[in-house]
Amino acid sequence: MGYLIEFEQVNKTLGQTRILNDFSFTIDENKIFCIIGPSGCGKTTILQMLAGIEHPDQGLIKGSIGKRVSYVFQEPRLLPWKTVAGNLDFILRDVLPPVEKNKLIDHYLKIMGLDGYRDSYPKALSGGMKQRLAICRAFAYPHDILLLDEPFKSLDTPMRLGLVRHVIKLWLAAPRTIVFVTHDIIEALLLGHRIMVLAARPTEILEIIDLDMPHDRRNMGEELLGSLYAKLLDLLDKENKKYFPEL
Amino acid sequence: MGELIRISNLSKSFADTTVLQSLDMQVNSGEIVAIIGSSGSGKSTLVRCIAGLESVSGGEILLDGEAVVNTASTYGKVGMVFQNFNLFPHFTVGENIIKPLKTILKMKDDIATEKAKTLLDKVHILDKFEQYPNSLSGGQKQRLAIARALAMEPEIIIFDEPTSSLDPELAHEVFETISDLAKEGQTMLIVTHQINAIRRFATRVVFLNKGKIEVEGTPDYIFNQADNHILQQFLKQVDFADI
Amino acid sequence: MTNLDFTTLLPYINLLPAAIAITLQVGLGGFILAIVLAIVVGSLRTRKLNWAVHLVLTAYVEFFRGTPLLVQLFVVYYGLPSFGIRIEPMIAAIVTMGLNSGAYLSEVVRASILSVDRGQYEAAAMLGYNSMQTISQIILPQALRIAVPTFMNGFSSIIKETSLISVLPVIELTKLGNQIYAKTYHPFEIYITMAIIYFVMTYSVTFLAKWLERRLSVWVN
Repeated sequence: MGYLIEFEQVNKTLGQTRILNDFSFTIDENKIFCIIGPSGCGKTTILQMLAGIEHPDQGLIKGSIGKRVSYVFQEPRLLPWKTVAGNLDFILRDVLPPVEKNKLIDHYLKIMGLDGYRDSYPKALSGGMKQRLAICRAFAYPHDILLLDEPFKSLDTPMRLGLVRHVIKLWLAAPRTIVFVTHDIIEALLLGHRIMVLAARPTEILEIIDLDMPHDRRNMGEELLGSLYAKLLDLLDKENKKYFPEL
Repeated sequence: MGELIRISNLSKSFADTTVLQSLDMQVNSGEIVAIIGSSGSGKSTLVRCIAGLESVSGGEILLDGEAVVNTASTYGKVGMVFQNFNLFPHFTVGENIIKPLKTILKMKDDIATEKAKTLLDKVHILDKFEQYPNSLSGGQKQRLAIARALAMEPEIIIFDEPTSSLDPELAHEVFETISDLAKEGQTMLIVTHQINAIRRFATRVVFLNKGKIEVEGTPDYIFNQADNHILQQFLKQVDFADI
Repeated sequence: MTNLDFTTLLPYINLLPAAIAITLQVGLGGFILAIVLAIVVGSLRTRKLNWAVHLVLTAYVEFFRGTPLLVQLFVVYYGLPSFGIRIEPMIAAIVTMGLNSGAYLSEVVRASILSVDRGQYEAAAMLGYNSMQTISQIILPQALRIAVPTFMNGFSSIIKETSLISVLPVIELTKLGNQIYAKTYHPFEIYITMAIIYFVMTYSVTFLAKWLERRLSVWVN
């Protein structure tokens, strides 16, 4: 199986600060790639490089040129004056013929359980539903890579788990390359085929874990996931001790 | 002096209004014919027919022996000076003369320019050469129009009420220029109300009434001797208007 | 709504020049085509014509004035291929803009020609100008001077209307805006920026128009 994008010893400095230090990893095609790390560890820079907006000072990124990218951000960023369907229509009418566009809107609203809210306005939706719509929009927009940048950060745990399940459902319906940035180990373990753990300042890769387990078997009671959880927690905790030895 | 224009049995009507009816007239080279008459007598229509600007309804107009059908038949032979000047506003004073010379007569630029300057000098507006017509007074505009007509060296120049839109003192300027042309022997046909001005140089006066020639003759005959009731009436009217 | 944050647009700023160039190319290309069409069609329509020519010209003007530009774009770009005529999107955009604007401006040319005094035709005819020479050297220069302000308005309109070609696969300003929207989901910052760029372009045209009018006014009464 081929990789879609490869980082080869990528270095990046912004001003005086080293943002990325010797990054090498590959993102496989049609798999979910998770990035876990503390805030300020250069995740935004990695995402911008994937989108072709930022470029490395040294090293090479293979495969990022010409890739269509679709995004989900921390906030849903919906158009408040457009309905649920209207928010999808607004970005799709530019890129798809009308018939195909409407089919796609129906399809995604159905998968995401939003078909009953087609004509509602975002203000009538809960926070979780708004983010579900944002995810829906990103999946529907034609793309080669889907970037999710801490999409569930502002939501409570049950809602987050629900949204993780929805992302899995969407991915299973049409497997495509997803890059998912989070600081939540559980989200990463439930979703990722490959999990990259980062350390902050200077940002380095601590560990890359491959996880082949099918999604329908993934629940936190599973032994493997439990042990990985412990391992990753340990890894991140050790990082803390580097900076705060008194702990 | 040869015959230049022969009009026989000319009639002209617009829709159901008859303007000219079975009119006969002729103009010889060297003549200066003034056409007078009250408004609606058909004098403008008559000269416009001669120029080829109006088609005739009956009869014929021969110019140098050839029938006048439209302006193409009069081109090069008849020059026209209009009441409203009809200068080309987008050309400078000089260009108003030079452009037609170059376009129509295919004259070379330097020769056309030289000719334009000579003519402008003759009508005393050479100093306006580079300016546009909008900066000229009414009298200057009409003198430019005369120079433009002269440039094509027509056999006859037709003046269609050349001073009607001018103040009296400006009209005087224009008549001075026409008078100069008269001295040079230029054949002219002048439609005007200002009978005093033409008295001095017209060789013949034609009085038109209701589309017909009522009476014609030398200025002396028309203004002093002719015993025609309608003419007398007309002259009484215009004497007041014409200062 | 969140506070405006224009820094989200910074990464995409290098895409702007190309999109502006496309917008200007379509605008200027369409305008030039429109001028040519307007002069030819407008002049022809002031004259007595063969009935077939008259019918074609009238149909052209009325069709393009009576249907939405967006529909015309669809017809040209998506409709013509079904008759075996396939056109590059840029060409389709320029041609449609030109045809559309040409139809409007031809009426302006026609009205301007008709507003030139009859005496100008008579004076030209008496000097020996034939009808082609009269139109091209005497009447059109005066008519076009009358039409200049409306033409420049038309140019502004074309620049604004180029936003409609975002329905074609051409990345002009509005389409770029839509694309950046799909990458940032920050509509206000994007469309305000786009609006400012359009405004700067059309306002420059207004200045150009005033300058041109001043220059061409020397001979106007």
